[in-house]
Amino acid sequence: MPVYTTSAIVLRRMNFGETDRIVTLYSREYGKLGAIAKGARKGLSRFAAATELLAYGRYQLATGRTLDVLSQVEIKESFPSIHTNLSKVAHATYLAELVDKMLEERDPNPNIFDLLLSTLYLMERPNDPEKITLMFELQFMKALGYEPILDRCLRCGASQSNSTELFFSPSLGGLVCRVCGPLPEDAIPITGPAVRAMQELISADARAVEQMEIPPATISQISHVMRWYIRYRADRDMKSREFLDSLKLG
Amino acid sequence: MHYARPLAKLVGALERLPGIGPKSAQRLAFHLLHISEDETRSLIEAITEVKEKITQCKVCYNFAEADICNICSSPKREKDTICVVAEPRDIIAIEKTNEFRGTYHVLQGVISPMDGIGPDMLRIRELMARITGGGIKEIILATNPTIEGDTTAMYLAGILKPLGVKVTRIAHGMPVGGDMDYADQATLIRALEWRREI
Repeated sequence: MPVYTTSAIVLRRMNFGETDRIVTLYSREYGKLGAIAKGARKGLSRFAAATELLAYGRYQLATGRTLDVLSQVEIKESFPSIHTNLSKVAHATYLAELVDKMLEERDPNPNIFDLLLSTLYLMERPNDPEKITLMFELQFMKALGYEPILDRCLRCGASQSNSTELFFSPSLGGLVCRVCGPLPEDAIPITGPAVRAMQELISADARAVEQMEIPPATISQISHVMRWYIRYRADRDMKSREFLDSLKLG
Repeated sequence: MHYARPLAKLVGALERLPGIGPKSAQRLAFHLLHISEDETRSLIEAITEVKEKITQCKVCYNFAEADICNICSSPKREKDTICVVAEPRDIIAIEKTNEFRGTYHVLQGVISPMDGIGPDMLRIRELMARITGGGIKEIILATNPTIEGDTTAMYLAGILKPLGVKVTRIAHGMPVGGDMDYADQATLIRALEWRREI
């Protein structure tokens, strides 16, 4: 049984048998992969904490016939501040679901791995989880090749930087104007400050994002647009989105 | 398959049980084939009786033989303290300690956003009703220290505290017989945070 070691983050886990857990890891070197952690649900198991959702560590796996088997693990970070803050945990769970649902198995993308890890570290610090989530959504879509067009109309190419009336079309993947034709059915009105914040978020590094101040109304506008954009690209809604919404309403 | 038809049917039925794979199902089926008629009858009776007689306690939602379970109806239990657990099997684990004298409330699951399980799908409304009914001093949140268990506890604390009741969470830290070397950062942080003088 060949053994390999990889840096990975736990995206999902489910109980299996009496004491085992099946985990979905997102690894830097191998992409998304499934593994079985034997005895992970026993109180004294060295795998218990390492197979918690969002745990980040070095995982040693033995190649199995169907699932690889976890043989050793060294936890690097378990994000204690995320775990003890309801809003942060809800947002971080959503990020894990997004990566799990939108990526194929064994299709490595170190950029996305680094993005997820740095986003979790940002969330661990005293930052607004909603703003951090928007940064992740935008940069994640960009990394997948779905970068939204935010400076011009997608149909006629007219610059939208001075336009007062802006619309975002999830199906077209960016801004559209009403000068060159009727608006697509899914067009969502969006304000100039929201578009500018999206442009900044999509290219900002961690430090810049921490310093960005975005008014709550703008955040909720971008969040609405991204929700529809991701739903269009993923062809489904993320289940954890519902809980996030219920927290906002409550 | 290679089994005779009734045997194949039994193997198929056993395979549907949690944690039972094809090999275990086959082993169990062959065992059942060899047991005496009395043993077979008592097994069938036990299953039928459970299905017929076990219901849910109308107060705490634990499994019960009557409308109200033994714990909720016992005069010896302290009714002003409710220990909130996810599943009935958690009650059994706590009862084995012989340490807790209060009552329970079974949520019948935990909030699991990724699986689409939200607060509305748990027995939270019923818990709120018990508290607003009066006479409750303390709510102990005894969900697992997993991300779902913690999420559920934090959510409950947020909605229960405004009701003016004391809300506590079971302690987390080093397990008895554990090894510091294998403990993760979150466990050690909590163990240090919640340390106490000896």
